[in-house]
Amino acid sequence: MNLKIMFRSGRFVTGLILVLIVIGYAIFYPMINPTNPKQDRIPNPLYVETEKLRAYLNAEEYDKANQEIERLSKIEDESLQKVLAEVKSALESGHIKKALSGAKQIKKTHPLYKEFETLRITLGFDSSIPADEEAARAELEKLTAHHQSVLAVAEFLKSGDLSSIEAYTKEDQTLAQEIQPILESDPSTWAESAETLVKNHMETYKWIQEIQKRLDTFSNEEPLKALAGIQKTLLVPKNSPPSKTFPLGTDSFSRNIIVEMAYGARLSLEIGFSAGVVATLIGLILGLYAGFKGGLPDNIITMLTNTFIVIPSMVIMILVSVALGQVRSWWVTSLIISLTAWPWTARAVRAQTTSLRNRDHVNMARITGYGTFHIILTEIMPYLASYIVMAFILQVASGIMTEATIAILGIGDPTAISLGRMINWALQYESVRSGRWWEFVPVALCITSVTFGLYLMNSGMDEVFNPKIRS
Amino acid sequence: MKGFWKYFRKKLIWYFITFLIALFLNFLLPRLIPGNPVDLLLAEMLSGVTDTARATEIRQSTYNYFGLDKPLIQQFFIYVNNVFHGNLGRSFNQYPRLVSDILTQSLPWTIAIQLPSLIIGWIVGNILGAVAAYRKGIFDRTIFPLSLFFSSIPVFVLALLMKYYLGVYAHWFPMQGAYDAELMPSATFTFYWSLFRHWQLPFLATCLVMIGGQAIGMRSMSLYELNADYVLYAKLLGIPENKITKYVFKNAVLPQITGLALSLGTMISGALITEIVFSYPGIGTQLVNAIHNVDYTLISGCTLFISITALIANFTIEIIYGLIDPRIRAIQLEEE
Repeated sequence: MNLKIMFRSGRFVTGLILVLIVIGYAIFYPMINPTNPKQDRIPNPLYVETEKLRAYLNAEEYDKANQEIERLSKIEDESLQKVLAEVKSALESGHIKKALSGAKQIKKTHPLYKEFETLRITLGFDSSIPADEEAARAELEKLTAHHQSVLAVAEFLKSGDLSSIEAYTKEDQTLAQEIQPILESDPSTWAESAETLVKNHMETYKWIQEIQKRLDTFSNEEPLKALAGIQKTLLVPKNSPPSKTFPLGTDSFSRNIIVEMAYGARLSLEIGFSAGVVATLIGLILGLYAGFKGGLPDNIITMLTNTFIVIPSMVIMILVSVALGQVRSWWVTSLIISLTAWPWTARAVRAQTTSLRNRDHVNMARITGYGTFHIILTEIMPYLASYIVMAFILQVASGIMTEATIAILGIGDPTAISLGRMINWALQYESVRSGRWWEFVPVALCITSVTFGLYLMNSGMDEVFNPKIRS
Repeated sequence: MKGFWKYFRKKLIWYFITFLIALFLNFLLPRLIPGNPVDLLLAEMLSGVTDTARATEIRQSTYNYFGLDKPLIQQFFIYVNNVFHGNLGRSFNQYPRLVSDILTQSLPWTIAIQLPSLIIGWIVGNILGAVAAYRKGIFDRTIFPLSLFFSSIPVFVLALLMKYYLGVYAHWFPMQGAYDAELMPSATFTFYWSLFRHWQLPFLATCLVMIGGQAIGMRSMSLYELNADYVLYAKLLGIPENKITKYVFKNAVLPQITGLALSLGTMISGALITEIVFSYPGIGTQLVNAIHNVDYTLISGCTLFISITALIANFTIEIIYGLIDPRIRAIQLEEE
């Protein structure tokens, strides 16, 4: 077979270019855009757990978070540093959820909260640490109110107004405990004790005010806000339309579609090509054997071929996939496709071999004493070569379409990203109805340029090798 | 008619064996599922039962009910017997609906889309293909690439793009379902109009793909015949062009008829994806829901149904061919 003459066909060349564009995109795009650590954290999204799949980061927010980690790492505090290290590694490996809970931990282990704890103990409260900034503010308000009550009670102590004191101690148990020893002592010393009480509390009040001030600046610090607000801003929004950062937008899992589609195209091509190779090989071997040998082997193989042709391949695929249940990976899908796709090739190869079997040059070779294998290889294969290549091309195209069909039906490996799976997601998450075209139009174009390209190649070759159908 | 009955008998036996193989696959494969479906059902039933003796009793009676306590080969015969009586069991997910009821309710929807679109697509496709081959020039240069495009574009891609551009974006067609959700099925004009509107898009999508494939096939068959020796000979004899064209067309369209019959036979599996894209309530939507809900009886009911229709279609084609073409009978009988 002269390969050069195929390039005389415009259709073949156009088809080849279309297919090569997609192959090039699938192989080289992830290289040119090597999983930019700031945009997406996925080295290979095909085999990682779901949580990681969500972790496409916004570059700007990622920088801010890192700056804040840098700043906080200067604070000498063991437990804080421990949490910081955790957050840092979580961010780097793309575990956003872990980073989020870590960021919350940072707030709790921040020295400010520890000081809060000491303050509460000094004032006679329990040693609870506020859960977050809001709780801390509420607690501070309570402590301020407590301080006010202390001042008021001190005044009543001086004037000896017991009933008014009782009104305060009823509401504030800590206060009640604190002034209990004073009330039990001699009323003549009450005024003096009240003075000391006020003096002590003025100091702790300064402390409260200081913490209040620091809490204010604490929440005004932008970088810390960025770290705490990871959930809102650090994660790329779901279903965002195409933008500069995400040329094809993001999907329902916040994944960068242009990268995801490159991986999807790669897997679809892998499945299509491997299924095409296996199906063509099975069809070729069985067809050649049946056609060349004739007799009983021919009868058995023909019967097998016809059975597989008559029972719809879709049925076998659905039943096998359902039976396999959770045992799913891309090569299983590829195997199922090839096991249902070979019969057509086998039938055609058998028919052609049967017609070649009794030609003079084949009989000549037989008389000369060559073995079956040698005769098939040198006397029969050359006549079939162009047909086999064409059949292979069609097998690849139908393999890619079948894989997509399987994915859309909801069978096959649900974790692998393929073009069909992306369409399945678009249908499941209502992308079409909501008009989020970027989630399926590029995928549709990608898969169509592969199948259309392959059909063009096939039809171009047909024109070259079958002069009878030239117009 | 020499040898027809022998041919018929041979085909009948062969198709019967194939039917048994299809039955066996439908029987065996769902039973290979790790943790078989009945166990899953049992787990649900037994979730509230604490008494062990009672639980064993329930398990045994359920196994007995589904016939799982019998040897596999006996189970197969029970299954075959049930299938021959039209009993495909009850749906797990839509319990207690019968699988056969669900199938007969969904079938009309599938046929309503597929039958007209396959037949109209076949007619239009063959005319276009013949025109491209006979008229050549600009006709061939536009019809052929377009047909190639529509035959190579996966049907789900076409359906998806049509749904988006014509349904969601342009609002020309309703985008999913078989009729407006707020309407109740009734014999009113509004309802029929709604049915028709919803029918158009899935019909168009299936029809376009069929047109593409048929035009490609008809074009190459016609070219093949036009380049045949007998055409040249007829021209040399001075036979009028019209008469030659008639012969060429007759010869070229014969394989196309097989194509039509085959696609009618596989129309249910061919319709699956289009129905899913448009949420059209046919067998495809039932099947995808069954897969989604792991409804084993419904899945295997659907696959069995698809296999049987395909077998019947193929059988009919072969018998008709044997009837009209003595050469086929001769070849088949000679081979065996």
